[in-house]
Amino acid sequence: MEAVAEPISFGAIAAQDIEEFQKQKEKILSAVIDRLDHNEAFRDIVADPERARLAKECAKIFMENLQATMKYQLPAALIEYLDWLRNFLTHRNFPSSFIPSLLAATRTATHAFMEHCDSDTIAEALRQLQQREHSLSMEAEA
Amino acid sequence: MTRNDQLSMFTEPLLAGDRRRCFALVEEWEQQQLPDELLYNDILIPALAQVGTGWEENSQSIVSEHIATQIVKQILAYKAFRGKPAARNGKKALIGCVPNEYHDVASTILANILEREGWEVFHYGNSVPTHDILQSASALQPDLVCFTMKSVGSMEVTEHLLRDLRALLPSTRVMIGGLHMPGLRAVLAPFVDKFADSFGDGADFARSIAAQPSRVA
Repeated sequence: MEAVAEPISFGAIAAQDIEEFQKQKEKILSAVIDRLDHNEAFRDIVADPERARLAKECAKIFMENLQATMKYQLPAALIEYLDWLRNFLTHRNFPSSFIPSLLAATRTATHAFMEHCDSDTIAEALRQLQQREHSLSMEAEA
Repeated sequence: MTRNDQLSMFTEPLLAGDRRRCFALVEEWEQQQLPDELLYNDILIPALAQVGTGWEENSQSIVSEHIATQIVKQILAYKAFRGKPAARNGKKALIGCVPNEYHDVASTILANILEREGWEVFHYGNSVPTHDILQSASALQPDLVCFTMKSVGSMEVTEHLLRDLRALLPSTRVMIGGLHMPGLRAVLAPFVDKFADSFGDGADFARSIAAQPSRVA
């Protein structure tokens, strides 16, 4: 699978930006959850208490893993988690757009809450992950 | 009967939460002299992995998964209770999970194995705060500390724990199990003496420490 082999770059993210991300993490997480809650595509999930709880839990764990991945430069660990999460959510009838939307919401929230730092490098890594998710879903549909 | 047959025989009642049937099977295999290592490696762990896959794929509820885990933990407690440890080797091991890690079956198995080999084992199970692990390690002065860890999410707290542990007890050996990703291992490598790939691998490392003379306190 081409998409799996594509490298994801976390190397350009500066240490002070990771520190700032850590400081703003709770705000970023709240904004991500809020954005997912108000996404029309996920109306069914939001209406189902168990799946709504899972969605929030996934966002929280993703944020922890993203932070550790940036700090320790371990993209493979985050990719492994996303691969696991995709399988987990697929079996719970989450739409395939959930993970790309989670990544997109994280990009937006990172920009919003890291206004005094360079959030572009983090956003770029998230964009690459989003692209990977998109390629994987195209492959799955083909 | 092959080991796969035994695994299927055990997994079925485990998935159904049938404690008595699981216990009876273990008792039966014990009477047939099934070595503990084979029970752990070829039956209990693969059976739990199947239960975990069932949960991931939504064919098993989280409650079923916890019931299965409890059954396995009770079997491990039975094995610990019934085990006939070798004569004490004068070595102490502190065993448990890193902070924020709650999967403690593997550390329980390792505790059983080391105890049977003559180690004095202190097994605290799943996540406890870093400060408390350090305090206990300082009081116990173990020859070996064994942690289990699975997730990248625990990296930061684990790195701090291991750094502090190394500074506090420089001659205590540190082993980590459950961490398979080379990148994660590379981050922790300066503070770790051994990354165990299996229970056998971990037991071999412990034996190499047991073969060394005891430290002067």
